[in-house]
Amino acid sequence: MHLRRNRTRALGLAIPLVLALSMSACGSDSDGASTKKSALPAANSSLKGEIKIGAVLPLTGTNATIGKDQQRGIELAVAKINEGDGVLGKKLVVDIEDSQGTADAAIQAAKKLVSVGKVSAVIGEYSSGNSIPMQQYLQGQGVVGVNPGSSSIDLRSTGELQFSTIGLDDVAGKFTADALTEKGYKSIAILAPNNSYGTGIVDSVSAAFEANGGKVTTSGLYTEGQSDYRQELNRLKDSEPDAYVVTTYGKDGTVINKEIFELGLTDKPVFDIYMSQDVPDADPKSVEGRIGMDVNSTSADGQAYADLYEQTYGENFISSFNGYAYDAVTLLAEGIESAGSADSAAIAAALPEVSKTYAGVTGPVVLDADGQRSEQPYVIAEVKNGEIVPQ
Amino acid sequence: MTEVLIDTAVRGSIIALLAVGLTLVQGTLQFANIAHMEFATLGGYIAVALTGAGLGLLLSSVLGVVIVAVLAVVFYRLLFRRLLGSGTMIALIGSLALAIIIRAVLQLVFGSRPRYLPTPLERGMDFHGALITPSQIRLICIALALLATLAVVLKFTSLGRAIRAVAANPDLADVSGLNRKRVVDVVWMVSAGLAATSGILLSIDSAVGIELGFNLLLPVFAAAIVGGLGSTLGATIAAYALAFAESFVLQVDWGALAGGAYHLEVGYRPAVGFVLLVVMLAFRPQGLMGRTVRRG
Repeated sequence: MHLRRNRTRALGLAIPLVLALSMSACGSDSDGASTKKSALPAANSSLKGEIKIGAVLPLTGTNATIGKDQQRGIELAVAKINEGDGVLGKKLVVDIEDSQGTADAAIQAAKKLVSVGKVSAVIGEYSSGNSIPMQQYLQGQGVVGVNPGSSSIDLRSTGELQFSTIGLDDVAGKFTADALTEKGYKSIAILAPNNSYGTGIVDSVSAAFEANGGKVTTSGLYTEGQSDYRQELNRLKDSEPDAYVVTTYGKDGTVINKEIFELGLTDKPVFDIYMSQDVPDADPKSVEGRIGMDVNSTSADGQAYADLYEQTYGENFISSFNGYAYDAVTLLAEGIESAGSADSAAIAAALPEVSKTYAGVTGPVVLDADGQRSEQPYVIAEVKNGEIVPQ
Repeated sequence: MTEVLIDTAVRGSIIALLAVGLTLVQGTLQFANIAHMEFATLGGYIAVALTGAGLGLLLSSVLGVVIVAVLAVVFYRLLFRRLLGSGTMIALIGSLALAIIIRAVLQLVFGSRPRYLPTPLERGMDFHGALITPSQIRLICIALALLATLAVVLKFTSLGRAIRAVAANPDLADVSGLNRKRVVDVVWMVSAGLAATSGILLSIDSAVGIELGFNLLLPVFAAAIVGGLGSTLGATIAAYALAFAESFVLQVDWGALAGGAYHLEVGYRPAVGFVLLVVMLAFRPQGLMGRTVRRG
């Protein structure tokens, strides 16, 4: 009697689960289907042994699109290196872990790479809010960290073993403010997410724009994950600036772009900081004609890389961030090669020197005294027929 | 001020549709179903899947509501009825588990990118100085019509009487020959259907994401509790009052009191629900429409 009851109870738990699974499977689409056009080149068979580094990327969660693109950059870099001479005559392996787009999971993933995988360097993440604590953790463990996607200026102070292959917000903010001034806008209203990335960009753009003699009518920080942002957008509108400056990503970006259109904010110029973060996910009609800035996904001599990307994945870049991940892997590989060992301290010592002559697919990556990228090519672009077209 | 009213009507409608269902289940079964929010998310995703399969928006939405309603009854019969046998607290924890599973499965199937229902992007219309989109007008009208229908059904039909009877005193209802099982099935169906409607309307107005329902957990529970658990009218009033309070607090120039200009950060919106909840629990713990029952 007792046994039977337990069994039916277990059944009761199992059936809804199975139902939920089978029911939602009806809605599955081609998202998971591979769009690969040509396979990556095979590794050089003369390579003996492995050199392992780690990567923590947002493969799921709000920024999954970017994470997937970063992963592609890493895949391409690893394939290129192993097709040639590898690293120190060994095969380079990058262990990729999912950060789920949260700081907690990012640190857990880094912990696993450090303690189980025994890696000497970890690449990651994308959100500053995740990269900062992760680099702080890596620094504490004596492991090299390379940030290929975050831009908060707080990354300057994460430690001497920590680096960035992407320019930080002080560089981006100045560029944006100058572009706005050049376009003749006297006043702007800014909207950014309420996290370390958002506050950093608001501060750097505001400071540079006011130094140029402009006025910031209002700056709003929105909480991520809300179903509606009309309140925030109406405040921007009520402050009557010459132009709106927005920076957003993920699901929030989609909703915000839709509401920017619905509320008629598109009647004035909307300037988008890091356009490729939100434009690809937006309804094309809502972002048509938008201007903005973005990191340059490839340098002039990065064309071969762009071609390789397209051949391999059967589509153009889905964000601007794959190249920085590519450069992170390649720079690390050159650092290990130059250091002659995979020892963290030796790599960290070698990186700044190697960076001086390194020609990245995103342009020159000269690391400054803080281990941060000091030169960064940006572009001004416009959305035409749903595509981001550089001006 | 019109802006506040439009904002209230839109957000209040979404919260009310969910809070009413939550309070109905609480009233009849004495347990708070945390997975209730996920019925909204499920509704949105099912509608997305159906429109993706080529069905029209209206048909997909209606089917989405029906599927979620049926699914809710299945969940109740297979899962919650058993858990409730072990106590309402067990059922509450079970519903939390179910909510987590539903979210995980949805993420597995649909991925983490936002999904949209194929609705044309519409420019807002000027309505006394504030903008309102056609889809928002539809949202408000549909929500009000459903809430009114529910009120009429509960008040004037025999089914409504049966539901109220079961809620007021389950044992007495049993003794009087009411089919309690059937009543409970209907309650689950109605509450999940309303939740799915809310989710679909919200998806049309913005987008469907994994956290669509979860993000509404706090305001919906606040509305249901402030309204007096078990009272649908109370939940409806509380939902709109909560939405108004949220919107009003954000619109007011608090700095003007001191001669400056200061608007509260929009990020504090959820705090309004909390404050309302605390004030209510402190001064009127049974809620707006709740009744205090003297026992013994």
